[in-house]
Amino acid sequence: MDKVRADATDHGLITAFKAGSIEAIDKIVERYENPIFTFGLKMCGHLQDAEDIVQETFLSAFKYLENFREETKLRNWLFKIAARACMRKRRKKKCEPDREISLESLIHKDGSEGKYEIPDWSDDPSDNILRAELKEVIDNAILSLPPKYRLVFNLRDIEGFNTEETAELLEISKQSVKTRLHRARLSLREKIVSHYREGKIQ
Amino acid sequence: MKNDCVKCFQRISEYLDGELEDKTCHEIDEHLRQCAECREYVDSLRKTIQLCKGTAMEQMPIDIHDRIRSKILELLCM
Ligand SMILES: [Zn+2]
Repeated sequence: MDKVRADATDHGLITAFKAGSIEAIDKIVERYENPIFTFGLKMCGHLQDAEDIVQETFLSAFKYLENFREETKLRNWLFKIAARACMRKRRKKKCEPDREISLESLIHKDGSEGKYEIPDWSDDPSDNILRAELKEVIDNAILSLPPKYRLVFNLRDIEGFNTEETAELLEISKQSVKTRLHRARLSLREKIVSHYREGKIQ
Repeated sequence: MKNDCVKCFQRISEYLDGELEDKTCHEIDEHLRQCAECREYVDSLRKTIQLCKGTAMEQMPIDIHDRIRSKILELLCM
């Protein structure tokens, strides 16, 4: 346990759960339902799928939490289960080929692009309509990433796991995490820029 | 694209995440001082990431919460 600095709150909740506390179950659910729901929704794009992911994650987690030895953080363990649930769901649907994003396709050509128009999230937070539109553009851009890039992007930039944690969680190399994240971000930049350049929103 | 620009382009994410070793990081700093185009590109990528992070968290609807909670309690026979 000294390698992983355990979160004190989680440790308390796990201990209480093992001692049979229902309150601990509620607290664990409340603590992690929104991040896992966010992850499910950004991976799958549908409310029903996101619900399935959250449900599968918690049911599996509580089934095995009794034996959880806290060798990883609870949060990482839950997301490992959630990521597997997403991949299983994808395999069942069989409709999404996992294509590669090549770096060459994203290279910016000298001077051809002119000014990069990326809106600023903090420009006018009071404008709810603009904010909602912007959110839709971004959510769609994320959903259009090939699954393996989307998975890494969501864990790294949306859920805030670091490179090492993401690599551990997905059982891939740190270099793969970096490569996929970089290409995902470049591709999102491209999609957002082209959306605003075409003036779909103004 | 010039060679230095390509090198920069390949490493922007690591650069923004502070994951590069000092030497490479300084090289990119140096290149960005001289190259307006890469500077602008790096800025736009930084902005993209911030934008995505800004839209991040979703709120799980309460009916989903209730359904999942009862399934968990059912599973644990409570
Ligand atoms: Zn350059």
